[in-house]
Amino acid sequence: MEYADLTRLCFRCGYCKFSADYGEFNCPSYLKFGFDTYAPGGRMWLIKAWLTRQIDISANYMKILYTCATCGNCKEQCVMDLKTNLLDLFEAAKSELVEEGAVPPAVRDYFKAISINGNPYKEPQSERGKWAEGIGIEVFDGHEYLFYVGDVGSYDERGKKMATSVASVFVDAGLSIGMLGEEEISDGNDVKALGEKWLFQYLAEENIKLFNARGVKKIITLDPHAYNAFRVEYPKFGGNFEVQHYTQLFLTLIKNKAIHPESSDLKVTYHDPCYLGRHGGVYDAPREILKCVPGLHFSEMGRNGKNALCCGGGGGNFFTDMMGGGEESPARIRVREALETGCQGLVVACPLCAKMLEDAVKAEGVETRIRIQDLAETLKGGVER
Amino acid sequence: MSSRVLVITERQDGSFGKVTYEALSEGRRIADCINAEVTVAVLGDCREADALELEEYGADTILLAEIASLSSYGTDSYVNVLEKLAKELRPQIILLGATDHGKDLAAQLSARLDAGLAMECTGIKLENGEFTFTRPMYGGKVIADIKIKGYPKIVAVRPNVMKMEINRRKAVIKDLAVVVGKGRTLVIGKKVQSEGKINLTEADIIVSGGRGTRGDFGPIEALASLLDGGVGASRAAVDAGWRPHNDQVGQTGKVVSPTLYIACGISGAIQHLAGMSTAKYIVAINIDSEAPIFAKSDFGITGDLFKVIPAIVNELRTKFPATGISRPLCPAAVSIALF
Amino acid sequence: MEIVVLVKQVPDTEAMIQIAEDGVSLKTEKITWIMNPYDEFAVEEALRIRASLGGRVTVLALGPESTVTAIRTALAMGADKGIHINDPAAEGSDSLSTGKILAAALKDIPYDLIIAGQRAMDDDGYQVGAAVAEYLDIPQISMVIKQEIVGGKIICHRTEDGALVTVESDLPVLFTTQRGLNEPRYVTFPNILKAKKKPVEIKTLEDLGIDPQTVGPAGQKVTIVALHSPPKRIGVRMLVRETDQENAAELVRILSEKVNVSRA
Repeated sequence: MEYADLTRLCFRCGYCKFSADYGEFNCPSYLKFGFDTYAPGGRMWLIKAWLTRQIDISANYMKILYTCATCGNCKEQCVMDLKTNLLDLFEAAKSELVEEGAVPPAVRDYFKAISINGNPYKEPQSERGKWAEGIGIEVFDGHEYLFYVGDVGSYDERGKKMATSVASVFVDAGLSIGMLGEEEISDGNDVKALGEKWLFQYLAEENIKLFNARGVKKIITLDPHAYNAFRVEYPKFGGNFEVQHYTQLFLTLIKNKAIHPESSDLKVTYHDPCYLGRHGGVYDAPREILKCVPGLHFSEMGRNGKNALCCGGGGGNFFTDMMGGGEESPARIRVREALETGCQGLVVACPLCAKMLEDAVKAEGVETRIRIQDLAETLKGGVER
Repeated sequence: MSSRVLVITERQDGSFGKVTYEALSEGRRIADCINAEVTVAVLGDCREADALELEEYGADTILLAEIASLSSYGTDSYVNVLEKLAKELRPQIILLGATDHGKDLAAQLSARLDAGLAMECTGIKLENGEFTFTRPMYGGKVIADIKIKGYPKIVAVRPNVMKMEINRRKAVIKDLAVVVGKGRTLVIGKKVQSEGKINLTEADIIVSGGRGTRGDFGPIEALASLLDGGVGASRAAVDAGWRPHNDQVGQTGKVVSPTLYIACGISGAIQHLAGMSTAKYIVAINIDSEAPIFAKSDFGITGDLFKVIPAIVNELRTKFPATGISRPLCPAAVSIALF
Repeated sequence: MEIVVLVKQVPDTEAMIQIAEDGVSLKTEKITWIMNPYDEFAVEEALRIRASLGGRVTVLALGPESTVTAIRTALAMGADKGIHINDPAAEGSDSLSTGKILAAALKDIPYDLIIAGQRAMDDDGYQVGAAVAEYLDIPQISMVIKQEIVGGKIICHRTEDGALVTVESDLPVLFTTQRGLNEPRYVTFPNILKAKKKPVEIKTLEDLGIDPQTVGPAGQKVTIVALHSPPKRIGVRMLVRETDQENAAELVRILSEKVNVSRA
């Protein structure tokens, strides 16, 4: 198994499950489940035990591996060299399970839905561009930018709202940008995170073929997950594109005065999506954007930037729900953390975070106290009440 | 040779299942079209007095085989008895309900008699002396009209579809002499599911509750019970600990395909819709008129489920009272009585 | 134990199902073909029985060339060999004819146990399993959610209208699967391709001694004369009477016309 030797480098210091100041636990699955095996160090040793045949594959083993949200906090916190490929190791261990066919039913169903139906919801391909109706964004045909929306933005009702609000900003700015609509296929980021590297390769190759055939050079993604796949993984398959997350382009457009943020007197805080922040290194652009909104009051949550607490939706969990909900689910903890800032708006930049946190707001019963809004909505004065 | 329609009844917990009355009503309607007699075979634990209920729905002859041991041998013994009966009576049509028991029986009988079978039939037409049977295919995404060559034609009617119709007559009751013989399979146990819980994935009617119930599933359960349906829950309800994960309908729960799905206090996130969008009829009750579920429903009521559901329950109890186990009313009968 | 699993390749019903111009078949261009989900339970259960009792799992399928994918998927899951009855004259066979063809093939295959899906998701017939058992003169037990094999007997737990019925029988037996029997293992696409190495025998109707006139279109007892699409959901009809009672009455009235909401 690739990266197997890394398991010998972990000596269970436990730093991986903490936040930067070691003041709090910052590993989403550890927060939820409480057992050491659900923390990175524990997973490491479990994988080592499996590699050395001390344990067999079991439902529990699968659950432990598949509840990792791939948030990358452990990569930040680990003090050993193994930190570089820490998540790759977990992915390799998952690939071993996938190869055997030994994956939890929810994970299996996610793979099957993507490979048979092209999306996790088994919705028809023809519905894929429907979010764009009436927005005025064109189908990509030699435009400067491709706006890549992804599965969640195309089908999930909250994701579609975000796609619509982001696309509206681009259209208002007069940008040369088009979307694939019906032709769009899954980026595969979460397929890879779940260990199905063969299905990921297929998706990557199909996407690269499609983008090249269309003459796509610059891609703007709605979803940080796609941002990660296109930027980091696709070049390995010969797909070289200029990839930006929509927040980066927003900042450029604001600086060029192509878009003018409406003023707002809201008090907001910002949640760093793991695939934009820790994985993507983009922490400043969203904050710069918020600074450009006249009148907006911004304050940071306790854990922010590299230290942000994951919403729990990564690692395919958004689709498989392996992590589950409950009071100690990371999303609900994060909402409580946002409430501590006294803010009325929790700004997000990822459609998965948007839904995870919105569901958590409802579960906490704090709908009247805090609203989830994406950056595009914030530029327009905040989410419609 | 006079034409005959043979209806096979099903006993459930000491009474005829609703589908038996549905099948019998349909049998009566067919018989009236082809000038035939309706013979009903009652196999299993049924006293003569109870069997006479079938007169209400148009039975001409009732064959009673009161043999407790029939149920112990499973499908084989039923099929053996019915094979003999079918060869004696030579009916044009054999009708039964497509319950699990009925499907099992119909399939084996079809092969035994080398007779064509319309499984889960939702409609029967007679034109120019030829029968056309309608049934769902491809998970209900396609409706097929089929013709069956030869006789008998076996029809397993889908429950909750054929209209029950009162058609009272004086029936002749005969004892059906059967030799059960030894079946190849032996039923060694039968356990009714705990709390009469209905398996959601195969349920025909489901009433589901979500966040809007605020944890009180009382109205949901009451409505489900009245409709003989299963109780489902959204992820929010399961997440909050109000219902077990087993009840969750949705992408990461159960995928269901009932004839009727009533969503109460459920907003309609795509993850939930993925679990029930193939339901034939979807009804939504939600206090929020903007809830996404309405866009995917056939009928919707904006309102407080704690007021709306009791109103529905009340209406059902009034219009369709259970007057005891043996004499259900059907819509046609109600309108006849009123006017 | 010699276990034979019957598998069928069916259209994925989640996808677009469109009726062709002839009005009696489906448009095939946009169809994704998959192994019948109930057959996946069958293959998985066979593999588990082999894991505990030893033996061999053979997959038997009737269908056109494309059926090979379903067979290979089963082989990739772990089945030992496949038998593919591929004969254009068999196309259009109804359930009874399909049963006859499969039974004819089974006469030459050793079996202690045959497992089939309770129904195929295309015709939703529920019949082929029972038909095969009948033609082989072995018992059939349908909708099995759990089974144990002890000695030469099998004990099946089946779901039957809200009850769990336990049925015992000597082997050989044919049983059909119910959802919940097991969770089928996942197979990666490369593993399906690798399964090409496992043997698949091809058989024709002639090999099985079947007269084409008794199966296929000529042998149909049941014929499809028309296919229709069910009425599409036309958009919600909101009930907007003044009171909850009025809305409730309206709803009950509407529903009672469509579904039997009366009680027995």
